[in-house]
Amino acid sequence: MKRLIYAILILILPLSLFAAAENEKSSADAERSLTLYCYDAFSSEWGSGPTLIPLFEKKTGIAVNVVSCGEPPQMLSRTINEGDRCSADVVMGINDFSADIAYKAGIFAPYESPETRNLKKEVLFDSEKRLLPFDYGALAFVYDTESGIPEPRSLEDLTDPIYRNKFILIDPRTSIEGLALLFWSVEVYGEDGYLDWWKRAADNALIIADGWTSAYGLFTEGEAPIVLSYTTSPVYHVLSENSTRYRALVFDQGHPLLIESLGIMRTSSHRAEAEAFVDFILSEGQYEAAITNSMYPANTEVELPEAYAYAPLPEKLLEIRPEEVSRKLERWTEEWTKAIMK
Amino acid sequence: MSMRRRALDFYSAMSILPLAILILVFFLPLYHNLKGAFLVEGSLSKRLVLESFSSGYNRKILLFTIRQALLSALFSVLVALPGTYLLSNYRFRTRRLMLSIANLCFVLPSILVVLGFVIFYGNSGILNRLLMKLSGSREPPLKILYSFKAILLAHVFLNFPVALSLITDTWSHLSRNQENAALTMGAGSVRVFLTVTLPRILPTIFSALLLVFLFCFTSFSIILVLGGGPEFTTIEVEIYRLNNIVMSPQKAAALSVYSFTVNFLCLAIYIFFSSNLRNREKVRISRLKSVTSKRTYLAIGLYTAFMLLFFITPLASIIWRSFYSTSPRMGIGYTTRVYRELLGLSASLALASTPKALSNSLVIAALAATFSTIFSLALALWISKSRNGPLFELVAMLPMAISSVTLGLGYSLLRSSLPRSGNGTGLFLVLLAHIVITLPFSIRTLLPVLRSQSGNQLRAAYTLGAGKARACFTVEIPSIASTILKAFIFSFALSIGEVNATLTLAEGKVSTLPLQLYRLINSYNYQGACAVGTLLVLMTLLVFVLCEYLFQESSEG
Repeated sequence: MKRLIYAILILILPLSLFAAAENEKSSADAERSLTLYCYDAFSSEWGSGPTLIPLFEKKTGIAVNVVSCGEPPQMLSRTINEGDRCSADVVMGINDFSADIAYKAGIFAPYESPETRNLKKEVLFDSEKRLLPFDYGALAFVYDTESGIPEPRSLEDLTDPIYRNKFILIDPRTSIEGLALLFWSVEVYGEDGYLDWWKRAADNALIIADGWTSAYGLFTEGEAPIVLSYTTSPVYHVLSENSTRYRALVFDQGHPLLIESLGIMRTSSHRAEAEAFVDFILSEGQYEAAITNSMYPANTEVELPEAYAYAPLPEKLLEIRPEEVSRKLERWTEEWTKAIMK
Repeated sequence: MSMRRRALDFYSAMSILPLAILILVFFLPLYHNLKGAFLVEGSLSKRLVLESFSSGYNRKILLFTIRQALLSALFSVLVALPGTYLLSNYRFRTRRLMLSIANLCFVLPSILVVLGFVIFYGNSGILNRLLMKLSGSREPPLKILYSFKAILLAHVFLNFPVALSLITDTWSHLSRNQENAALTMGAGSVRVFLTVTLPRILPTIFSALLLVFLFCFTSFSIILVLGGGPEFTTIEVEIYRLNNIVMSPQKAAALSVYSFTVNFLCLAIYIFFSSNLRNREKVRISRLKSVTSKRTYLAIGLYTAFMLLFFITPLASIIWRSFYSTSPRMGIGYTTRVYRELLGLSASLALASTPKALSNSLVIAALAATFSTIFSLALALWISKSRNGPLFELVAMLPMAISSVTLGLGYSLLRSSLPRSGNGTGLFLVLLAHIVITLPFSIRTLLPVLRSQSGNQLRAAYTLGAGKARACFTVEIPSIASTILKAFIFSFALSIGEVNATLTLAEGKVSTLPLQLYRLINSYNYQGACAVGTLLVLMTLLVFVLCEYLFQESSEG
């Protein structure tokens, strides 16, 4: 018994010292403040939050109370569920796919930010300006130039037997990238033909991964030379590995966009502070937000690092129509499951 | 009789705090979650639940979920049985090693298992590259991953240890008197096994089957990544789709009712079987035979080799990969660079926070394991004495029956209902969640031993005038000290590998080793991820070896 107590004590004591060293910060007491809801990746130590927030606070003297709300879908559900009780003034990180759910709930108030004039037209998806885009990516297949197989030039090419087990797709039921691929196939093949493409492509693919993380992991571990990712993915390999081995493939049929946006809550009691924050993110905050997320900045005035030369922005971009998406998303993913499950 | 009554009051009083935590951290979120399934526009309705099951396609998914879990459970038990025979009957040098490896596999986070499997069994993994070099072919000869057999392989890898330790535990405690009697009367050893031994270990085998079934039923990332495709769709995937993609939490909750029902039934049957084992024969393990025949030596050698090959290879692959750089800029080849970065000897943005994640992991695991052990001890004492024991056992074990997806749903509801959360709240919630998650495993470790206690000592203490508190703390608890330590170590290891609850509740503010691993994978740093994985494996191994050492000391001393 004594031995047991000693063992436990020895394990715990030094650890409690570690724990004591951690202390909390509170920034909510400043005179001017606002509450920001964001997804976890933004506020985590690797996200752009820890750099952007102090910059904004220093510039404006407005304290930001950051509330991290899990993954983007959880953040939106939470904001809607809280309704009038919601303490958020700004919600950051709503993607264009789920915009319609936010519109229907009526949680965001329009804001004509002076910065919108510099935003890329194609990504300004909400004409009523309830949600303003801050960065975006274009979905694309990334290709290993050392694999010795020819580059595919379209979605159709991927169903060719020479690509058998050579590429990795992503599941639309568990991943936003997979969902974007589903829309891509609907855009290209229409509602009558997309399932047929998927059946042929699924047979030919090495796997349909659950998410971008595992898909890209298998790709860099050499499991397949082609993977579904973003046109910006090669930038990472240039910046941190000095390697131009991986290239994004641009297809003539166009590429779907994934847009991240932010909006001011209708219930906000700090409207002026919220507007200042939105303006900041759409101007000075652009570079940091886009680079950290490995996306393109929505503001066209921002100068990008040289490595972005390896992130070819396709000329033809396919825009998402939030209303149609929210109407058909459940049916499409269900039909998809039935078709692919066999 | 009144002594017994008062003793019960004492034990139930000790159980109030753990029950309160269970309600707050587990039943409240669960209630919130299930409420969505039955409340349609403010009134009670079965419509959503029935609707979610009217389609043939959902039934097909449920059938597949059951099929894969059943097969995984069967294979896990079949692979474990020869091992349990050897471990329960013989004393040999690799015995402790085998038990340690077994425990290690079970507590590893599944992301690490997936990583190890891909590095070792993948199409361009170590095994295939070796075979390609030997045969000179350009195509990978072994297509193991991305198929149904890969799912089974990984499930056996993760869950076979459950069967191994559970069955060994019962079998090695069986008295050999009946077998010896049968042998003396001239029965053959096969017949003795089938007619005398098997009937007595059958309930445990069945318990092991149920438990593995339960774990595989709610498996998520292994099925998706290693199965490689939507033809292997389980009910968890559908719940995830409805909640995170379709954004209809009510429909997700309605579907989770089915998964919950199956798991609940499994757990109830498991508890029924294990509480029937309460009068098990108490025999010290030291009755183990030493190995004499060559055949037994060979069997032990083969089984140890199998375990090393099957279990060590994916883990060793992770360690190997942490020393191997594939980045042209840093130089392709062997390097200790990530470890230097990890220790802060050379600068790195990504790995610099690892020491902090390590200390967070250790603090959380140590605290969670301490509280979980204390609480489970209180609950187990109460359950072993109360007339309604099995009912309370079911309540306390329920967190085991809920999938991470369903639990995650509940946690995000819980988190959003809390007013304001700073760093401390996140850490506190993570701690509570870890306590609740490890509690069932801790109870499962303690309860059988408490049930096999005769109670004579305790009665003697009462007779000698000790109060129930004094009797409990000076007689009852010290007599099971080594089991308490085992529960502590197991909770510690489980907590250190926990991912889902931490991810949901930490709000991105508290990082632990497994979360660090996720982030490194997310930022393309596989070598770094493998280094963190290596740390995780080594820490868990250290804890188990420490446990084995202390366990040995205390059982001999």
